[in-house]
Amino acid sequence: MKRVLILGAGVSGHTAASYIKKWAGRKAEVIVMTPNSKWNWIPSNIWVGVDMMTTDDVTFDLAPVYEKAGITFVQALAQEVFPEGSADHEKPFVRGMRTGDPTGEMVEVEYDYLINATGPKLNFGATEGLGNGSELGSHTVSVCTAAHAEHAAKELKTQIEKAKQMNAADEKLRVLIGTGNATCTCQGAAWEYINNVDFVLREAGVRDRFDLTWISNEQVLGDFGMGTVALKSSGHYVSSKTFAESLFVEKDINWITQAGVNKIEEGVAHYETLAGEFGQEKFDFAMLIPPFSGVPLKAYDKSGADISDDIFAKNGFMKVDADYTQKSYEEWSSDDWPKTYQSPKYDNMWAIGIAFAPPHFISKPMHSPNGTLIAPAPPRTGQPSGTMAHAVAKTVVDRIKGRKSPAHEAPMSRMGAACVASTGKSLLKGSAATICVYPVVPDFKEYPQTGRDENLTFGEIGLAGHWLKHLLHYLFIYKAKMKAFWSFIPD
Amino acid sequence: MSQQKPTGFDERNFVPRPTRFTVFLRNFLPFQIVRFLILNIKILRTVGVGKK
Ligand SMILES: Cc1cc2nc3c(=O)[nH]c(=O)nc-3n(C[C@H](O)[C@H](O)[C@H](O)COP(=O)(O)OP(=O)(O)OC[C@H]3O[C@@H](n4cnc5c(N)ncnc54)[C@H](O)[C@@H]3O)c2cc1C
Repeated sequence: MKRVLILGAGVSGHTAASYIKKWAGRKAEVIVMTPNSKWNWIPSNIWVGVDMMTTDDVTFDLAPVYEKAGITFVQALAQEVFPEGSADHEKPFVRGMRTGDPTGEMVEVEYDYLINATGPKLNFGATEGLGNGSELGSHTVSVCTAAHAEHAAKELKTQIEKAKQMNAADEKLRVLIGTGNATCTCQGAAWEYINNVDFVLREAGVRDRFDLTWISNEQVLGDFGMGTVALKSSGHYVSSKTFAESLFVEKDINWITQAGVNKIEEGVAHYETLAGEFGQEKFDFAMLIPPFSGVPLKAYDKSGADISDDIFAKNGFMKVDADYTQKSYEEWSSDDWPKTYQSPKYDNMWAIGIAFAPPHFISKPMHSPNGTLIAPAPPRTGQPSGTMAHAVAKTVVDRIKGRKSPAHEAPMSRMGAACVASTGKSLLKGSAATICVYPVVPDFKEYPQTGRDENLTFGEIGLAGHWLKHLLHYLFIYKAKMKAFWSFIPD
Repeated sequence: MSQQKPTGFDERNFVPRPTRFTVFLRNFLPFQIVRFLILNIKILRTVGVGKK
């Protein structure tokens, strides 16, 4: 029996674990090592952050699900990878620190195949004063985890209560939402959050007592780290810039783009713009997404020498079958992006989801006259994470079953993605922006004008999108719980 | 009372905005039920192309 070790039980790790166990059955021992005891449907954290869902609605305990599926659950934080084994271990293994019971104890797990699905490290430390409002940086909140989002909801509620006590002549309360660093990704999540905050403020009847401002490192609003998209919408091909601006104008949301937030103080965010100017924005409530980096994993060869630089890129993400040669923006190609997600150094190691190192940005990197890089990193959304997990699971199962077939591919340059961004949660009054893009990484050879297929790339705002988003919430939690017929639900 | 005129072209004043009818359609149930079905088909098409 071959042993597959999966690091991380998020969207990609959990998907890979469930398919490998389903397809390989008794031929594989599947072990998941992850620090949290719960699985989290992260997209719905947005609704936790506006008090429309609770942490319990978006999480569930992993142990019973894995027990039923025959997957071994090791609640630990992976710290070191030994892809060649060591003096004491014939086989490759991973060393981690237990975070469940007994906490702090070291654990070593050998493997035949390793899948790194550790997602991002939320790098709050990259911007002074940036935080999640509770244990980290008290000035700003975050919605990146369910616990962060719950805290954000409490802070938002305090502001709503304050607004209810205000007189018409009082100065408006200021809400600032966006990215907390010059090279953040995940604009989509912040974009959903600002729209949901707008919605709950309207529902509470206090919207007129707030100024809402968006701040981001995008060159234009609606870039989302994808270099702007041409969307088929209402009989036109419109840019995602127009699409996003239209919604913000309609909702009376101000925006500051081309801004790299570099410091947060009590009630003030400091930033530098692409024009090289320095500005500050005051706030009473701020939710700023931190930049992502790879989780701190080290790698050692058989002799114990540190080979981390061979395995991981500088930003901590794992190198896979991408073309990492330094090239100018003009030379970038969609072919640079990985296809199989296999490590070039060890053919029994893969990185999926956010854990793999992208070869470069998608949006054109821009520098301010002061030399500061202010540009959104590539988007790392859930659906591509699930699709690559599916492909890698197939490859691993082929290997386990001794099939000689080539590795399965899921390149983002030939992958379509759907993103349903909530703009308000209510069964009849809600709405969402449904944005579909093909391919995720633009291919200017195939689609010279915009890099994307204009018939498959579209955007639409309305209640139907909200129903879809709500349905996806229940479907994906059902699927993740591996209930009857779970594998019929698409990734 | 003097009315303040814009001092020059401000792009934000001329961003396309939905008409009242469009806003109405966004939450008009019969229309949205149809859109829901269409959206599902369109999403499956976009996502399915890559899987082929
Ligand atoms: C607020 C928010 C809203 C979002 N909304 C959407 C959306 O609407 N649609 C969409 O497509 N995408 C959305 N995304 C993005 C989506 O959540 C990610 O793309 C997806 O979660 C990535 O999956 P992953 O498996 O790579 O990482 P994650 O889901 O983050 O999982 C990483 C896993 O690794 C574990 N881990 C971390 N460190 C270690 C370690 N050292 N050892 C072992 N395990 C470790 C973590 O505990 C976790 O279980 C959103 C993201 C955020 C933050």
